[in-house]
Amino acid sequence: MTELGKIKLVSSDSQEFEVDREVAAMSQTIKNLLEAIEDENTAIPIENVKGEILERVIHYCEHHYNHPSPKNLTENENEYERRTDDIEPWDQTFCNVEQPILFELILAANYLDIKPLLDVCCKTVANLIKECRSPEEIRKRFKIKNDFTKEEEEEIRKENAWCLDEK
Amino acid sequence: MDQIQLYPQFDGDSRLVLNVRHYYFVDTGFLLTQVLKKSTTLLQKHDENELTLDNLPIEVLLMIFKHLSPIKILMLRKVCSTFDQVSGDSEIWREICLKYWKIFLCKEITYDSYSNRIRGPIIDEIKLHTISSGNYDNYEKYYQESCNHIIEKITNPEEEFINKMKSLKKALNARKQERVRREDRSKISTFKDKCWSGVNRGLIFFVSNLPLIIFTNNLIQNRSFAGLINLSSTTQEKGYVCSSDYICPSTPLSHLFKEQNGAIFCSQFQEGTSFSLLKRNFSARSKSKSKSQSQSQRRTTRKKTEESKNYYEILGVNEKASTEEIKKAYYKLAKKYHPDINKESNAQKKFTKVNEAHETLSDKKKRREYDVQLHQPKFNSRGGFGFGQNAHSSHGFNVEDLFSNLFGGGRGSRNGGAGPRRGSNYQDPFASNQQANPKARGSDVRLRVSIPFLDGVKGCERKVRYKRITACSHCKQTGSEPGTKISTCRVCKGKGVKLENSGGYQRQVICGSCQGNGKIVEKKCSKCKGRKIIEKRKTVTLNVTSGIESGDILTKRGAGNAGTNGGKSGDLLVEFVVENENRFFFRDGLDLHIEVPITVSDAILGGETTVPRFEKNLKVKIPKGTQPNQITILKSKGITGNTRNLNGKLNPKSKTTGDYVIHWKIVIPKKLKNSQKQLIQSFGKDEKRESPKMSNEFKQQVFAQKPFKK
Repeated sequence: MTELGKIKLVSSDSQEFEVDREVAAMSQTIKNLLEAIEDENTAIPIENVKGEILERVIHYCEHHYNHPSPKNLTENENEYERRTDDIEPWDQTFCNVEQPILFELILAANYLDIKPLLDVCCKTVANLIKECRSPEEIRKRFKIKNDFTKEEEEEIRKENAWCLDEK
Repeated sequence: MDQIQLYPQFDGDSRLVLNVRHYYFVDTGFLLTQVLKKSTTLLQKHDENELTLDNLPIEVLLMIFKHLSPIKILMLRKVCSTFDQVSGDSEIWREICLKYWKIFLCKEITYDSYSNRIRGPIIDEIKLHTISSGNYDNYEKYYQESCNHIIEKITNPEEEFINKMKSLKKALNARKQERVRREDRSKISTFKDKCWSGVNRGLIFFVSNLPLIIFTNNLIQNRSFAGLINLSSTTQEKGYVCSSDYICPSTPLSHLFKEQNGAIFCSQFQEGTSFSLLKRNFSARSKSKSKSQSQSQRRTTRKKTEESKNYYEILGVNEKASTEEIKKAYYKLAKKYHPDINKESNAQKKFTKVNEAHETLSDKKKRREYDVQLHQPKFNSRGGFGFGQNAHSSHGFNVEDLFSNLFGGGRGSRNGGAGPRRGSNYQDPFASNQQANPKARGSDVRLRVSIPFLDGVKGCERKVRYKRITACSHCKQTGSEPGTKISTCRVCKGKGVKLENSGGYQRQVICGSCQGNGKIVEKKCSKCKGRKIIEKRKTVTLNVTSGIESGDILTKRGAGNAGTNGGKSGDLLVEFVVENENRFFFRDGLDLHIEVPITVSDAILGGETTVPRFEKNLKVKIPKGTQPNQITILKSKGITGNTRNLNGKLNPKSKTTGDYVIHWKIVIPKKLKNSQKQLIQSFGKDEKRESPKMSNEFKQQVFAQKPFKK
């Protein structure tokens, strides 16, 4: 039943994108939608994703549709370590964006259920976290406000004292 | 062999003694961070009011956190309250630990009532001890002690550790290669050195040469631990701790793990299995122990048979004695215990026993059977099987064999081949338990499809889309994730069923530890979740023959649900609902009906009209003087379709065509032009007015009944 054709995606700010059906089907959410909708011509609204982000997502999907990665994702999961240093160069440059965009990409990937994209983005963030050596560093890098009171902070520090070096 | 004593957290009373060949103390956190290399730095500028990491939904955060080591997560907890919440949840923490380190925890991670927080993975049993003893007072003391101890021990932890790690890695690689080559295993002795690190204490030890890390908590010398981590799950091997219900303080680890094909297996004990049983299982497996076990078993057997009557001993002869020797011994004893001669009270009893013994042993066949029984301790101890009189028992005293002998193999054997059952009245009491994994044909898929009128008349091709259960192609019907290991169930040895002693007889029950599969799957298939089947959509094109009617069923063989365990697939049954009416037509089986309106003049004078019939119109003569509701039948101009059998089923081979029935419908005009009115009036003058003729019979019937007149 799969007919090659184009479908229309509409972002939250009502930008329209024409995508190959097969490319769009990389997103499990869209794939499910397409199965439910028989009519080819209906534009699919992607309400949670901005046009700017959707464009990037489509870019990613198109690239990976044309260059399928040789690695099987399920194989990676079996590995003892969840490796985070195995991001492909293309993906690395793709994820080399400002943090807000990266997070929005994660949200979009999560919503659209595109596993490889979500994985790559999460790994990128995880790598960012790994580079930080202290909670303070994490706060700085990710612009997170410290919302603990002093007492709370002390409590957590105590709790985790058994496994962390507090010199 | 070193002995390591592991103490549970905060509790000095109970301990776990591990017999370990070699062990290391390592920094587990550092180990992991060493392996995970840094990627390119992404330095960014921030704007206010932008999406930040702590604004992401929790599920997404979790996905990110899953890539991090538990140590990093503990660091994250200090960053802000969102992260604290996310990682502080015991479920999530557990998940991270399991995913990342593959810590094979026993049941749960401790929720420490001391601080109302999760504290880290601790083996359940130990946790229970901790709680039951309620001894939290020493916690601070222990902690201080351990810190002092470690500071004492380590002069330069970083450098030393890195060196040790390097050697460890080398050794691990060497081990890997070695395993591939399956060569001498003794080289692993390079692990003898001890390694200390102060930060995140861990302990690697080897059980049957497989490295396991014990992630330690408060380390006081060799005491206290938090969980077991498997280092080598990158290879196909596996090592884990069993449900800790069975770990008691004095349990040596050799009782919990077993090596098989270079991998460590830990018995997956079922709930309720007692430890003593477990112990026996293990000792039975280890070769050195099995000998002594079997010896002792034999000894007890001997004892028991003495109590119940061993015929050889009654007669006072060797088991290998010849028939003549037995005869001699019998005569001797018979004389001695004959009730006529011997007046002792138990002489009679002894005489009968001697007689019984002789009867059995003198007959070659019976003696052979008896010998077999004698070496089957289970049945001896029961002693109820009537030694002299069991006519059907043959060698090998398995209940199953016995039954198959009795009933001609009527009980379907595990291999799936069921022999003919003699005596149809015999209800096998074991039938329900017999086959753990029967071959079963898949169920049929039933669909109902509605078809428009014309398609039903002319026949059509119709695509049907439906969901069916198919064999999972991802795992090739093994139920296991490709690339992971499937091991044979240890409890039932791959049979799927086991024999269970209950009361007086043995019963075959489905093995509980593998649910009758005989195999234990390490990781369930991600697509079908171990069910081996998966629901898939399928499109089938059906050739709908012309003349199909409502209620007709088309069958597509093998297009239904997949069978289990190699059974055939079911069928696809499509029931049709065909529209019976159209704008013009209605149908009755293969006969096609149509109502054709005609004018009064046509009805009176006759004429010709065109009648629609599918693509082609037909010219039909209107007979003169057509009456209302009169029909004209055009033979064999109806619907072509398959003939039906007497039971109404379609016969696909022969075809027939129905009739085309035209119902004339005379339309009498309501409004007339003046000229027409005059014409009709003049026509009416000539018309005879005929009142309906009443036959005499009718008159009699109507007027004869006068019930109220006498």
